Amino acid sequence: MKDINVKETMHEMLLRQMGAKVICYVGKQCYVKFNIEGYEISYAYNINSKEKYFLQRVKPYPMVAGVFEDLKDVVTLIEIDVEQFRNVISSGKFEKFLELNKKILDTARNLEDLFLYYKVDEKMFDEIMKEIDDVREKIMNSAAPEKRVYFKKDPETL
Amino acid sequence: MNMMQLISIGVFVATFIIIVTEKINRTVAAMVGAMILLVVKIIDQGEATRFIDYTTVGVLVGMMIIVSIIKRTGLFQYLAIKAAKMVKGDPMKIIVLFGIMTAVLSAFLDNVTTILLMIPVTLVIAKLLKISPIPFIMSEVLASNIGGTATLIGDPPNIMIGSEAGIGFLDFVLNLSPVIIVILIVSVYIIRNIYKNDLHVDEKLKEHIMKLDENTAIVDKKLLIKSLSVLGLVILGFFLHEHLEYESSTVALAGATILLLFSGIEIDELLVEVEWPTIFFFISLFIIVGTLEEVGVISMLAKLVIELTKGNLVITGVVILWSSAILSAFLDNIPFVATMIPLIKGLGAISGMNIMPLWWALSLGACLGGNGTLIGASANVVTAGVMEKEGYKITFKDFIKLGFPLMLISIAISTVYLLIFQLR
Repeated sequence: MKDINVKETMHEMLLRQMGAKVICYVGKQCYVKFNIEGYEISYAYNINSKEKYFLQRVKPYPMVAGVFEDLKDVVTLIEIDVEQFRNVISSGKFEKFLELNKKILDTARNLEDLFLYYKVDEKMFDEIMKEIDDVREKIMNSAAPEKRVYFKKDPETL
Repeated sequence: MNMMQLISIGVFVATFIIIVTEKINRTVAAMVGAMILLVVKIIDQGEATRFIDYTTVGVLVGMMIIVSIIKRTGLFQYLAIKAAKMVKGDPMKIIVLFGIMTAVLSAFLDNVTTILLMIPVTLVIAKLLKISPIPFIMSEVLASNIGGTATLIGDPPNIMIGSEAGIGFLDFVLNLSPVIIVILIVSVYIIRNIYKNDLHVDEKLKEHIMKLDENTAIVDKKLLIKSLSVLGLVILGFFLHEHLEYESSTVALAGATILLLFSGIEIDELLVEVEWPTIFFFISLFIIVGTLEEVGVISMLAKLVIELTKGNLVITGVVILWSSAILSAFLDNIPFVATMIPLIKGLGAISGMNIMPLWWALSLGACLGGNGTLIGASANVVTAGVMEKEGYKITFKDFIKLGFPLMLISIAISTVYLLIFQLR
C-alpha cells in the first residue's frame, strides 16, 4: 500500500507539472477471472469519480462493458457474459472468432498509427470506410432472427 | 522467582525474539504474547486494560489522522519544489536543505510518513537532474530519525517516555532540541561531503528544476488553509499542554476531530490510513511489559542494575545512552523502550536518584540508535523497500557504512551534552 502511494504521488506530481488535473479516489480496482475450458475470461472493474462501477472485459479480448449504478448490475453482466462465452466456446468456432476479433482490433490500431504518424490521403479514408461498411452490412445480415440462440439479454448493437 | 514471574519472562523473551527475527508479523507476535498472558490468567482483562498507555495511543492515532488530511493538500510537494528552486537546483544545497526539511517535518510528524512524503518528490528531482537519488534519500532518512528525536511527538519512543514519565512537549524541546540541532548540522554536513563527488550536474539540467511550478502541487487550497490552521493550533497546544493541564493525546485527538469536522473528507476514507497494526503493536506491548512490572520482574531488574552501577547517575546515564543506541540499531526500539521505562522508574523508586537525565539518555539512545543499521528504524526499512521497487537497492552493508559511524558520532555528541548539561 505504501509503495503504491509513493508511485502514485510521484506520477501525480509529474502529471500536475504537465498541467493535468489529477484526482485519485481511495477506491477499489477489482479483477475477476474465470477459466472456461482452458480459456481465460477476465474482467476489471473500479469505482469511478461519480461513484459508479466502470466495468471492462480484459480477456480474451479487451472491451469496455459499461458504467453501472450498482455492483449487482456488474455481477449480472459478468454472469451473462460468461454464459455467452461458455456457449461460444462449446460451439467449436471460438478460436476462429478470436482470430478474427484480434485482426479487427489490430486493424483499428494500425489505422490510428497511420493517421497519427503519416500524412494520409483523404481518398484512402473513404475507401476504407466503404470496405468497413460492407463488413458491417455482412454482420448485420447474418444476425437474422431465426438464427438467434441467446435470449436472456438483447444484443446492444444488432 | 515464582511461576508467574517465570511465565511472564518466558512470554516476554519469546515475543521479543519473534519480533527481532521477524518470523511472524511483529503485531501478531505481540498480540499472541499478550493473549497468552490473559488466557493463562497471569493477568485479568481489567489489569490488561490498565497497562495500556492511552496517551501514547491517542497521540499516535490523532497525529496519523491529521497527517493523512494534510498530505492530501500537496503541501509537502510544494515545500520541496520551493526549496529546490530556492537553491536554484544545486544538488549540493538540495541535499542539505532536504535533509533539514525532513528533520523539521519529522519533529512534528511520524518519521515513516515524512520519508514517504519526501521520496516521490526527491525521485522526481533526482530524475530531472539525471543523478542517483540515493544520496538525497540517505540524507533524508537519517535526518528523519535525528529530527524525530527533538520533540515529544517526533518518534514513538518519545511519546512513550513523555507519557509514562510525565514529561511535556516543551521539556522535550528545551532539553533535546539544542543537541539535536548540533547533531543534525554535523550529520548533514558529513553526508554532503561523503556524496559531494556524486552531486555534480550540468548547469542546463538545473534549469529543469527552475521550470517546476510549486503552485501545481497544491491540490486543495481551502483544505490547506484549514489543515495548517489546525496544525498550528495543535503545535501551540503541544507547547502549552502542561500549562493548560491537558494530556498530549487530548491535543492530538482534539486537532484530529476538528479537522475531521471541517475537512469534509469521509471518515472511513481517513480511518483506513491510520496504521492500526502499529496501534495494536503498542497495545499488546504495553500489556506484556505491564505484566512484567506487575509480577515484580522489573523491580528485580532495577535492583540488579543498581547493584552493578552502584547507584551512580553518570555511569547509569552513559550506560543507558550507549546500550540503548547499540541495541536500537539492531532491535525494534519500541519494545526496548517499553521495557526500559518501568526499569528506569524502578531505579528512581529504589535508589531515590534523580532519574530525569536518564529519560533524556534513553530518548537520545533509542531514537538516534535507529540510524545505525538498515533495520534500526521503521523509516529505514520502509525507505529501502520503496527504493528497491523504484530500482535503487540500498543494502544492509551500504546503510551501515554510512549510518553506523554517523550514529556513533551522534551518540558521542549526546554523551558530551548529557555529561555537561544533564548528568550532574
